[in-house]
Amino acid sequence: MSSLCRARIANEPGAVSRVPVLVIGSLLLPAVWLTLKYFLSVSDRYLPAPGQVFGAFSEIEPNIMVHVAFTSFRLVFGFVAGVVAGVAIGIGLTKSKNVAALVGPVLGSMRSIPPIAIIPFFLLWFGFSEVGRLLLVITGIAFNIAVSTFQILQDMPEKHRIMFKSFGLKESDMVLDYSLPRIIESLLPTVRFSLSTAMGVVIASELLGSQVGLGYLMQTARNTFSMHVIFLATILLGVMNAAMDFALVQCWKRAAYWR
Amino acid sequence: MQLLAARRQSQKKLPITVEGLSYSYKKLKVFDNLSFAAERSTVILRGPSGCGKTTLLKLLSGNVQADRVLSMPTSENSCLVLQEDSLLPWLTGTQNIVLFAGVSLEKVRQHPMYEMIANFVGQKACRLSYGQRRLIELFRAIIYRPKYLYLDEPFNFLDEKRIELILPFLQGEFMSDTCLTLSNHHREDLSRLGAATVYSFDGCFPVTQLSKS
Repeated sequence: MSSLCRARIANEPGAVSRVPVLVIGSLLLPAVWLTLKYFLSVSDRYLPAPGQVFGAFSEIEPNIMVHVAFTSFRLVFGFVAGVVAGVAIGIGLTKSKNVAALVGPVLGSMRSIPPIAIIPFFLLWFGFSEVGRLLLVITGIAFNIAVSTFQILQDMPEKHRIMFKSFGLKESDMVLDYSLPRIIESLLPTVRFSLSTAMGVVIASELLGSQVGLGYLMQTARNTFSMHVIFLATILLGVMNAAMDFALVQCWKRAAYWR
Repeated sequence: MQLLAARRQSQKKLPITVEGLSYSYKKLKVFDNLSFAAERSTVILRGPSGCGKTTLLKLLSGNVQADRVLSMPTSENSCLVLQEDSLLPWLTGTQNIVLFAGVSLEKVRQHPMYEMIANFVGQKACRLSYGQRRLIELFRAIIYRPKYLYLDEPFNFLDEKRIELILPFLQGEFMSDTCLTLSNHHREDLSRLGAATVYSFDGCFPVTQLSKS
């Protein structure tokens, strides 16, 4: 976006009034928490005090940032690999109608299976290994990305279809110059949804078989009735998801600069 | 056999010959048994917006299938440039030309029309104005040299001066092996296109004939 455009948007009356709204929106949930805790006196068993929750930062061994780092690594690596695999499968399907017809029904049925439901398979196949957890995240999002990619490439604008025919070219032969940019400009909603799915799968896999990570932390905290630790892990998950989603949208906007 | 031979003979003589063309779009009959034969290699389709000019170009270029047709130019080696901008916005003007027209950069730069686009063709298409993109699209179609070139409202977004500069590239040696058909609804004076057959639509469906003017 040009600096002129940015200046124009900043000068819009709505743009200025959005800042306080954003601040109020961010403070809404903490306000509900404080109201429930201090004005309605909800018990610690159901709702820990903010001081107790943030005090857990120093209580946990190993340091909570180690758990955050492991969960973040699994999330980022699994998510990126899942998106790349999904896009590659989607492009591959557009290369041949026969392959699409052959693999389409399998993809359609695989993507409808909730990723949580396939965790037992991965535990049996890969045990508690890191490879199993990463493959689980990749499998959890790749099929949806693949179907979405395939659909984007199938729904080619008429003007592009006519252009390719006019110059005797096939869009499937121009992966870098045509298919990838077309995917980039349309795939963002699916990718954002997949990020949330990936987060869920990472936590579920950590809940079931891990020695470190926020999911593992929540599981052990449940066993020791440490509600404040569960709260802290949940808050960190929310912050991580919001930060990654924001970073993803910003990166995507830069990648699809022509939109 | 005699009829077939006569038709072949007539197709040699008449660059654009359409016979018995019928086409419906969602139950609306657009063309009904339409026939026309242009005796020149440049055809101008004239008529108000929505009269079926673009549809006829799509049919002629093979991008839309006719319900029924007895004779029509082959859609092989035909190139249709729509009035809607179709350059890929993430590529530069040069990349749009070289990748699609399949010509070398050197050949692009040597073309006499290159002067008109030289100042901006290296920029990404998304950063160009409608007029600049239009010029690049026309340049690409002209340098591609298809057997049949169909231009839908080619002069949209262009000022009179640019149009006058382009017209020489749509005739003579640049179109020596090409049958050019273009649609036009606003520009009355295309006299510089010289030897062109002009057909007008009467503007009501179904179109059964075109008036030659």
